[in-house]
Amino acid sequence: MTVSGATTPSPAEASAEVSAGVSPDVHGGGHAEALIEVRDVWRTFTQGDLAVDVLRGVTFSIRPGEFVAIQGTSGSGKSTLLHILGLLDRPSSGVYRLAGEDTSTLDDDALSHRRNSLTGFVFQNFYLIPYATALENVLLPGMYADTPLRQLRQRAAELLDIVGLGDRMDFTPARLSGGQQQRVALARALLNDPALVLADEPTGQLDSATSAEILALLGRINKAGKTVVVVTHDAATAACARRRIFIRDGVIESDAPITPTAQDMGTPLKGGAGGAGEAASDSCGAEASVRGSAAGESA
Amino acid sequence: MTRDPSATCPEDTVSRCATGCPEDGTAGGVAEPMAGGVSAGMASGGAKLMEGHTQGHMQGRMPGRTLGRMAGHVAAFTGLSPRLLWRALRMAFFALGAYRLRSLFVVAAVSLGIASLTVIVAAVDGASKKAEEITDMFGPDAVLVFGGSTIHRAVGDRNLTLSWDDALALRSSLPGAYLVVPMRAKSAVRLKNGDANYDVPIVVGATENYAEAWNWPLVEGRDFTAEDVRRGARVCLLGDKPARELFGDVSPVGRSFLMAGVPMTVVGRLAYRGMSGGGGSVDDRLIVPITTLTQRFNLDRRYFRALRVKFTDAENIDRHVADLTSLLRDLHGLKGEDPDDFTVLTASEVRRFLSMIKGGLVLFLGITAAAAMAVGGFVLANLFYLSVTERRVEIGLKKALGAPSRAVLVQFLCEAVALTLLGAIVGLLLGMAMGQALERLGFIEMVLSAKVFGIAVVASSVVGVVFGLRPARAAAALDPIAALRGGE
Repeated sequence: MTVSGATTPSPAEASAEVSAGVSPDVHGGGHAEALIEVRDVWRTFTQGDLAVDVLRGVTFSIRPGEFVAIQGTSGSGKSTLLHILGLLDRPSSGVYRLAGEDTSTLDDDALSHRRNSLTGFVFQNFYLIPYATALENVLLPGMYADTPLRQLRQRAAELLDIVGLGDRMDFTPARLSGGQQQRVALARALLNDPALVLADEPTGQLDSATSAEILALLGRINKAGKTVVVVTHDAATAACARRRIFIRDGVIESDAPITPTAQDMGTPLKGGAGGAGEAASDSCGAEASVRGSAAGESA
Repeated sequence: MTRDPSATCPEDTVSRCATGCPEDGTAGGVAEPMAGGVSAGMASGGAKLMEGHTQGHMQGRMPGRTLGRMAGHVAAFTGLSPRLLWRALRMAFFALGAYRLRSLFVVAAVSLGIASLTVIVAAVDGASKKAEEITDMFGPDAVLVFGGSTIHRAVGDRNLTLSWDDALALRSSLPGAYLVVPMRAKSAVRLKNGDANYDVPIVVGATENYAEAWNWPLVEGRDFTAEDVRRGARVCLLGDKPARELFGDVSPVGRSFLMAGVPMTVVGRLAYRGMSGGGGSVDDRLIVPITTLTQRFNLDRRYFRALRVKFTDAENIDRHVADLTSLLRDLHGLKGEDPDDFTVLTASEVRRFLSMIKGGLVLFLGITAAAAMAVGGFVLANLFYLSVTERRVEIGLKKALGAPSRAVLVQFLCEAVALTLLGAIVGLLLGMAMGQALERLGFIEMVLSAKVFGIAVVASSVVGVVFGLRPARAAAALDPIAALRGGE
């Protein structure tokens, strides 16, 4: 990582590239069609005679380019919601439209195909295939897409370079640290160029310094035009997003953009000695300030 | 690292510096190239993906048109595109390499089944070939009569029932018979010529016309004369094997050696018959006049063990056998219900006997092979269920990343069939080695053919599909959420 730091392009160049790569939706701020539209979604699990409503009428939508945190305690239904968003589960009732398409009309194969092409998953436990190298792990979603392997390989190598693991492509997960494994997982999530990146407690297994790196990476991915949805129980992690949906007992308790002022609450910590907790908030603090200054300019 | 705050796009770099981000060299350092790279990579990647899609649909990437068409059929059957099918296969091999020990167990189990199958098929083919050779040698126009009945033999019944009188009577009054050669044998006799010692497994006592009666030409010398037989001359015909052992490359005719201490003169040498292995070689024998044999080894002089009768024609062999039987019964004073005290063996009977042995071979070895294959199959199924359980996370992950259930099914089936096919190859080699060993020990005769290979490949594929299908289905049916949760 420090190596790539040394080869960092000049800030001007980097910024230019960022703005060039970002789709107009992000900055346009117009009411583009929602990427995700969830209307009155219920999810009921039955165990024997007992029916448990895990989601009880959830409604929200997410526009392309948003960075949303779904925050809630354990058992609040946030993971179930993520599974539905990621097409791994179906609502018991209600409508979920992904990219304008009503998912209830799709059969299993179509769902597999949408998962493959529209979404990228990042998990708490990374879930890398232990016997495959970093590069091969990144290639995995491409194996189910109709893309020539040579292109996939090239792209996987580029992505690994981007997440700072260009020199570790041939390492198996066992030889990578937790943070590095999650970077591989991030690269993997991006391989098929999905519109939506879903992260399930992406920092749950990482120390705070590494968490900050991963969250920063998610921030970059979002800036590059991807819609990012992070599910977490952790307020600090959620604070890195630009919008927070708070879910409790299967219903949305609050859904609001994370305002610069709310984020600035973290700023006083920055002056202090670099503790673990601070590192995390530092990273998000940086993100917050980005938006702060961006908002200031556009205002 | 100094940053220029007046960059056109002020976001992130500016703020990062402004806040004095302590991990500038780490997170920040990574983040910058990443931000640029992601967008650049995405733009170019996107273009490439589009390109790839059209190209991918236009033509499969299988080498060769036939292979491509074949893959197309399989693809239609599995519902996967040739490319995805090809990748499922690749991933299957990849996983097999990763789970080497397990793969080894399956291959070992299957290969044992295939090895026994190989030995069996080759042995059965070998037995058929040998049966052909034996029947050929036996000749369709001749019979062999043994003393004693192979069907009814009460305890204590003699099996020396054929006498000189019988032979003479057959010679003079059996219609169609033009050669009658009585025979008896002595096993394991020490031969000695100078320094060369050789234990010949069988010394046959016969009369003149032995060679002709067995359709066995002499490469040199002459057959016995009636005179040789009458006076018990110390002459002999040498089979190919003892001829080589005693005289090397030198012609043995006219030379002498010691048979159990008695000097014998070689008058003729039998042609090399070279019947394929198993049960010793027919060339490994010594023929002496029957009178000489009985005198030198002090055997019964009235009776002998067998009679070789050669007829003038093969077409009427059934009638000749009937005549021979009734004449012998008459000579032996058997009447009405009395069972025969001799056995007449014809070429067809020899064939029937051999196919009976072959049938037993097929049955017993077949059961063994089926059991071995089934064991291999169960080992496969067992280890694959274990594999599905153990690789839940991998399977769940693949499905979460967009693998259709069929791709998972096909991958696991490919793994199973690849292992059983590998087992087939190992099994074929093992079977050939086992066959070689058995052949060398003289137990069986093996004939390896494309048939053996085909049967091994088909049998192993069937085992792979049949026993691999259920675990593969179990893998394909895994719920990714549960599978991933179970892996935590």
